[in-house]
Order: sequence, then structure tokens, then C-alpha cells
Amino acid sequence: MNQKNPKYIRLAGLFALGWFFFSYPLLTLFNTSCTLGSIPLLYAYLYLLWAALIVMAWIITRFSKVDQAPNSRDRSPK
Amino acid sequence: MLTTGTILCLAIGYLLLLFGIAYYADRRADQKRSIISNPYIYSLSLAVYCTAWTFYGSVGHAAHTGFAFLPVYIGPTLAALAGGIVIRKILRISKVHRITSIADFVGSRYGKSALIGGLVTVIAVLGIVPYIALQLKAIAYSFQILRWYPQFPSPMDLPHIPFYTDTAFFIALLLALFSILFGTRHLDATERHEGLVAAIAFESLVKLVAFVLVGGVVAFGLHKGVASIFQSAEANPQLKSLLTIHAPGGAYLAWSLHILLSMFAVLFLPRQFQVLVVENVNENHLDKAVWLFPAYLLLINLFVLPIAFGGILHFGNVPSIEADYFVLTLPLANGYHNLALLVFIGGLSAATGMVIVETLALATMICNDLVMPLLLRWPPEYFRKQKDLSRVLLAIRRISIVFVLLLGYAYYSSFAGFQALVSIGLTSFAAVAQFAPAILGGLFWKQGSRTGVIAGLTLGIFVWGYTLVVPTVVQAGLLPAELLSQGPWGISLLRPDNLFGLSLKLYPGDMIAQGLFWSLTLNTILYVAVSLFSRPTAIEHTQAMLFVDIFKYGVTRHKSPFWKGTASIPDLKSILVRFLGTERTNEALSAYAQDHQINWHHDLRADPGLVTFTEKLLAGAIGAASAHVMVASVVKEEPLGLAEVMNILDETRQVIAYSHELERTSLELKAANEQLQELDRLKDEFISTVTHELKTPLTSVSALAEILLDTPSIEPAQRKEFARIIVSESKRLTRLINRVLAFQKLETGTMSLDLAPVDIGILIQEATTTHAQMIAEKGIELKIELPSEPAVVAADRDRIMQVILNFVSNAVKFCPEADGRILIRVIRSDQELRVEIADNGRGIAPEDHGAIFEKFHQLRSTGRGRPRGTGLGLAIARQIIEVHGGAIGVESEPHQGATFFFTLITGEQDSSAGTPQAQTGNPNT
Repeated sequence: MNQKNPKYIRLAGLFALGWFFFSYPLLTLFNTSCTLGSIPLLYAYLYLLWAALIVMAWIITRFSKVDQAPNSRDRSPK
Repeated sequence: MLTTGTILCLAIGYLLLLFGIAYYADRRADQKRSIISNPYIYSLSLAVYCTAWTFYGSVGHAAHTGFAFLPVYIGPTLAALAGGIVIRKILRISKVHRITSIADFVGSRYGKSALIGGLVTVIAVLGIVPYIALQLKAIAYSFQILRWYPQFPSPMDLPHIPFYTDTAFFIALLLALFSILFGTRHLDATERHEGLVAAIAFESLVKLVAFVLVGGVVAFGLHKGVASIFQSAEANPQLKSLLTIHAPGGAYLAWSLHILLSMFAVLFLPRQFQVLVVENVNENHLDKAVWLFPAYLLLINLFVLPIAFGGILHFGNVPSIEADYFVLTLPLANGYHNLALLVFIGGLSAATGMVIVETLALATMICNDLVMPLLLRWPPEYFRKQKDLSRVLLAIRRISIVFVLLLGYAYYSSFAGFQALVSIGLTSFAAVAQFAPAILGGLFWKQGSRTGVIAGLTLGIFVWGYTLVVPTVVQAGLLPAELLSQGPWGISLLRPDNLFGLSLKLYPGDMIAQGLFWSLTLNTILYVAVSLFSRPTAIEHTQAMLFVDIFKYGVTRHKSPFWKGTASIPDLKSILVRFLGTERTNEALSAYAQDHQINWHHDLRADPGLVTFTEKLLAGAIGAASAHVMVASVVKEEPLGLAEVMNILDETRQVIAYSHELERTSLELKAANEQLQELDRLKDEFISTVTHELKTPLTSVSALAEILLDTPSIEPAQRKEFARIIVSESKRLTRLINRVLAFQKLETGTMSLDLAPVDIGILIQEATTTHAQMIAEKGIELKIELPSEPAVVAADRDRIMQVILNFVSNAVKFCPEADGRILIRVIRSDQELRVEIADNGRGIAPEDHGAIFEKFHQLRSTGRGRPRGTGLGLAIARQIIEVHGGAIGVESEPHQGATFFFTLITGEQDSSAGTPQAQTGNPNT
């Protein structure tokens, strides 16, 4: 296993995406007094984005076909 | 109303349950039937991130600042996503190098530096003791609230309780006991504590359930769902302002800084490092944790706003210290006493989980990175002579645990009353965030150096103290208030909470954003700048490479390719026994022997692999820096061979690889250049040859023409003869020009011969006639011996003529002024025709016999400064003869004259016509 494993690159991409959507100026678009089903838009946006990131991380780790690291934890010398 | 007895029984009962779980997990671990070796337990253990601060403080934070609590959880979510790259690398490094704490990690990366390990430890203790105090405060305070409700105890009352009646004190002692029992059962080279992890995971579950339950009750029991709470909030003027971000510009940057802060915290807090890295059983568990841990965070934060707004709606505008406990007071106020008890247990879980892991992590750091290096450097004789230091080590750890907890308690009872939970927690975060440049730089940037880290960390923690701690101390009344309002010495630019006039506030009163900005920025700048200007030592360089390129070098666990040294096995063993005890040492060594087929009875010298193994084993117990010192004391380091030296410095290696590349390229260039030079030389040679060859017939023509011009009385027959020669020479000249133009074909091997039957005798006659004038002038006696029948061979007439002419003119040239003799002979044998032209000149030294046929070589004059001619003629002659398939040479002794000869094949004409052509392909060899 190495650093170039596509799964981790994809997760890093998701990280960049998350950072972008959680920052200025994207936040300003949702910083209004509108509501989404009576939930303030800003909170709805933050929580939904958060949930979306988790789901995407799940999809990436679940469906990226990559070689698994051996169970390398050395347990013997205690 | 809950009685003190009920609450205490419940609390103690819960803690006993934790002991039970930990005990069970430890037993299972001893039987090699781990109950924690799965990604779910791993993810739950990571949730030790959520402390009492999350459990109580988030709500209080949200009640006053709205969304500002969110970065603390969004940060870890993003950090988990980056974990595939960053955490995995840290994990692998720590496993390979048996790193057991964040201090060890940083120290080890920067040349196994004890100074850096110590610095990190001190910063961690400074930053985190208040955080531990915060947990104790939360426990004590929640206990008081349960006891005295509906009276709300003033936080200022807390410190005045004598410690022997203070619940917090006894809880602290219980937690110390827990950490000692399950954190320091024995010295473990891997420092893993399954019982402890199991208990922590269980606590994470309890606090999540408690919080979600209370959130559900508040949202759906006390209100008509989350939407209805927000609707009510909309109608409340105080809460309405919390629904959007207000201060533009700076607030957004502050928001991002808070996210960054939490990202660093979740990676570098000692307790996070402990559960994330040290207690990790399998790297692959990280894959699930990447989304499970964020999911946990999302879940535990789902009801923060509903509870916070519900609290404000119920209690009105209360001070933030009271808002912190809405989770507890809301159920109490609405008569849900059992729920309140569950919440109390949830809060207890959050607080104790953090305290247990944090004290253990800090104790390990204090022991390995602070106490041990000092003990090993200034040793009382006692430590030098001790056979078994493992008990001493364990004692140091246990004392450290108690010390950290008492320190936390002392802080709590002196200061904790002054601050809301949030500011204490974030200040701690900012302290550990100072490790970020050193760690992230250390992971990916080989040039990051020890001095850079020392400089950056020192400045960072100083600025941290100034911008984040000083204001707290001022607020506590221990420093004059003018320091905050006017700045030191009245310089407002230096105001700690508004350094250099920078205003970055996520919410009113937020000092964290600007404090973090200044401390982290200055820290990073200094780290990078000093690193760029410092020269790393060899060990720094090695460690840098081992860390940065862990996926390249980290495969073989016990072999460092960059170190060569041997030690006696008994020496190594005695060190191990001192720190690990006999039993564990034997276990570890026999495991190593089995893996590497070593027979202890035969091998007395430990190879570098075993030495490295010993050092890493020790590093697990006493830290990398101390282990290095210990092992170095018995190891005889062998001078590194050239190959090892090459290996040591990756940079060097890269440079070498690069220079090999360069060398190869330059060799290629050199070869190309030589080829060009050769071509250039050939061109020059070609021109010389051309002029030379043109000159010979031209000389004859002009000589004969001169005679005709100067001697009008010349006989008609002779005139006719001369004219005929002139015409024939002119024709030869023309032919020569054509041939000469094709000379390069000769060089490149593409020449074709114009083969025809040629009578060598006639050629010789013609050649001598051409030179008759010169022969007559020098008074040379010329003798020609021809075979009786015509000597006919298949040859290119003009080329052979060229050769004969060259030989004759050379012979004439080198004949002495008086008594010159030239003998030309043609000798026939079965296969070949041999033509000899002998003179009685100076002769040629045997060593020059080969050279005179080389191009240019014979250009050098050999005798008394007189050049022997251009010499190209002989080279061309050789080529011509060789192309014909014949041989050419000279027989001579100095002062005995010289006999030049060449042979031509006379065999069957047809095949001989083919053979020479076939040989033209390589005329020069």
C-alpha cells in the first residue's frame, strides 16, 4: 500500500471540496434569513453539507477497489 | 429532588462498571481474543474527542453565539477526510518506529531530539492541564446542579469547598487509579491498552445515547419538533440574531481558522494521538473511521441547537456558565429526573474518558520525554547500576499520572471558576495546534530541521501565551486590566486580545481566532525560515528520510538501511532487561530470533538489524531519544562503507542519481562531439588528400610543359612523348578529380572499384616515366625487374597507379643526394603478385612501420625537423590495396633503405573481383 492509493487521493479531493464549501464566500450565499422548512438556511446548509461529506466518504471507502494493507500490527513483543 | 447518595452511588457504580469492562477487555487481550480489534470500537474510541466541553459546553456556546460551536466538529470531519494521507502516514511511521506519544513523534522526527520531545511535553502539559481541569469542573458542577436544583450554585462557590469533601477531588483520584490500573499494567513496547480502549469506546456510546436522548426529549417532548423550536427562535429577538453570521469579512476568516484549529486538535491532542495512533490495532480500521467518526460527531451535534434555543426559550437570557448546563437543567426543570441522571452519567462519561486517556498520554510523555532523558543524562549511580529499571519506569509513569491529575485539580480549584468551558477548551486546542507546522512539515518536508522546530515552537507558544492566556489571567484579576484595554506600556498595538490591531472574531469576545492566527503564522514562518538556513545533522537527515519516505523504507520493520553498527548481544539484552524486565525481554528476543533464524548460542554479535530492533523496542518503553542514548552506549558504530554513505543521504542519493544521469548524458554528448570532431577531421583529411593527389599529376604536367617551353630545340619524338604524357596526366587529373569527389565513398566504405585486367609492368613503366625527370635530376639509378610474362591482375587501374606513383615519388624523395638507387620488382607467385619498390635512403625505424600507413600519424616529421611529406599518400595507398584485398607494408631498418611493397591477388579474376568489393565495407580496420 502506498500514498498514491486512489482511495486516499479521492478522500483528499473530498477534503478540498469540503473545505471549499465550508468557507467564505460560499457561506455568504446561505447567510440569509430564509428558511428551509422553517430551519434557518445557514444551519440547514451546514448540516446537509456535513452529512453529504460523510456519505461521500462512505461511498469512497466502500467502493474504491484497492489493495488492503496487511494486518501489520506487531503484537508479539509485549 | 435527587439525594446526594443516589447520585454518588450512581457515579461510583458507573465508574466500577468501567473498571469491569476494562478488566474484561484486558483479559481477552491476554488470551489473544481482542474485543477491540474492529473499526467500530476504533471509531468510538476516537470520539474521546467529545469531552464534557462538547457534552455541556457546545450548548452553552450555541446559546450565546449560534453557529460558532460547529467548527469544532466540522474541523475533525475534514481532518478525517485528509486522514487517508496524513493519519495513515503518521500511523505507519509510529508503528515502524514504535512511537508512543506526540512528543516522541516530533522528537524522533527531528533527529531523536530529547530537547524537542521535552519542549513538546512541556507545551502539552501547559496547554492541557486547564483542559483536564475543565473536565473536573464539569463533573463537580454537574454534580452540584443535580444536588441543589432548583438552586443554581454559583461557580465561584466551587473552589471554596475543601478538597477532602470535594467530589471532583475524589473523582480525580478514582480516575488516576483507573489510568494506573489499565494504563500502566506493564511496560508494553507497543503501549497498547485494550482494556482502556474498550472502556473509552463504551463511554463514547453512553455519552452519545444520553445526549441524543435528551435532545430528542427537548425537541419532541418539550417542543413540537426541531422546526417548531426554530420557529420560536425566529420570534425571539435574542435568538433571531444567532441564525445568521453577522460580522462580515473577519468572521468568515475566523470561522475558517476555527475549523483549522479543530483539525489540528483532533490530530495532535495527546489523547487523540493515543487513541488514533498508539492504540490502533490495524491500519485498515482507519477506512471505516473516516466516515464513522464524522458521523458520530454529526449525530452528537444534531440536537445542540434545539437544546440551546430550547434552554433560552425556557430560562430566558442566562449567563453562559448556566447555559453550559442546559442539557441538565432543562430535563430537571421539566421533571425528567431520571433523564437528568442519565445526562449526568453521559457528562461523566465524556469527562472521565477524556481525563483517563489524556492523563495516560501526558504521563507517557512526561516519563519518556522529560524524566527519562534527564535521568539518563545526569545519572545518579543508582540508575546506572539498577539491573531492572522497568519497575522504576512504571513508578515514574504512575507518579506522572497522579501528578497530572493533581495539577488539573489544582488548576480547577484556583482558576476554573472564571472561564466558560469553551474558552478553556479552545485555548488548549490552540496550544497543541502549535505542533502542526513541526508535524506536518516533518511528514512531507525533509528539510524541516530541529532548530527550525525549536525556534518555531518556542515563538508559537510564547505568542499563544500572550494572546490567549494573558487575557484570561487579566480577567481573573491577577494582572492589571489596563494591559487588555490599553496594551502594555500603553501601546495599543500590543494589546494581547487585539495584537497589531488585528480583529478576527467569530463571535463577540472571540480571542481564539486572532491568537491562533498570530501564534501559528509566526510559528510556521520561523520554522520554515530557520529550517531553510540550518544544516541538519546526519541523524536528523536519516530520521527525516525515514519519516517522509516511510512508505519506501518502512517495509522492513527492524532494518534501517542507513545505519551500521554492532553490539554484543549480552549488552543489548542487559539494557532490555533493565527497562522491560527479564520475561518480556526473553519473549521479544526469542520472537526476533525465530523470525530471523538466529541462534543465540552461536551468535554473540548483534547485527545492525538486531540493534535497531532493540532500539525500537526500547523506544516503545522509554521514548526514542532515550532509547537512542541507551543503545548508543553499548553499540560500536562501524564506519560506514561507501555504499552505506551513499545510502545515508537521500538527497545525496538523488543528487547522485541525477549526476549519473548527467554523466550519461554528457558521455552521450561527448561521444556525439567526438563523432563530430572525427567527421571534421575526416573532412580536413579529405581536403588534404584531394590537394595532395591533385598536385602529383599537376606537377608532372607543369614540369613537362616547362621543359617544352624552355627547350625549343627538343627533339620532335621527345616532344611528342612529353605531350602524350601531358595529355595522359591531364586525363588522369580529370579522372582523379572525379575519383576524389568520390573519395568519401572510400572513407564510408561505399566505394566501388572499377575492376579491369591491368598489366602492372606497364603501370610501373608509366609511373617511372612520370617521375623520370626527377629521377634524372637526382641522378638516381633506377632498376626495374619484371617477370617474363605480363603481370596481369584484376584491379582498378587508376587506383593502383596512384599507389605505384606514391611509392615511386617517396622513393625518389628519400634517396640520398648522391648514389641514390631505386629497385622496382614485380614478383609473381601462385596466388598473388608482389610489387616492391626499394630505395637506399635513411630507412624507417621498425616501430614506425605501422604508423606511417596511418592517416596523420606519419605527418609528424621524424628526422631533423624535415617533414617527410604529407604522408596521406601512404594512407590512401593502404586503403586502395586493402580494398583490392591485398596487403601493403614496408621492410626497413634505419640507414639501410626501405622496401615498400604491396600485393594483389591474382587468383580467379571473377571471384577476386567480388571479394575486394565485399571488403570495402570496412576499409579502415
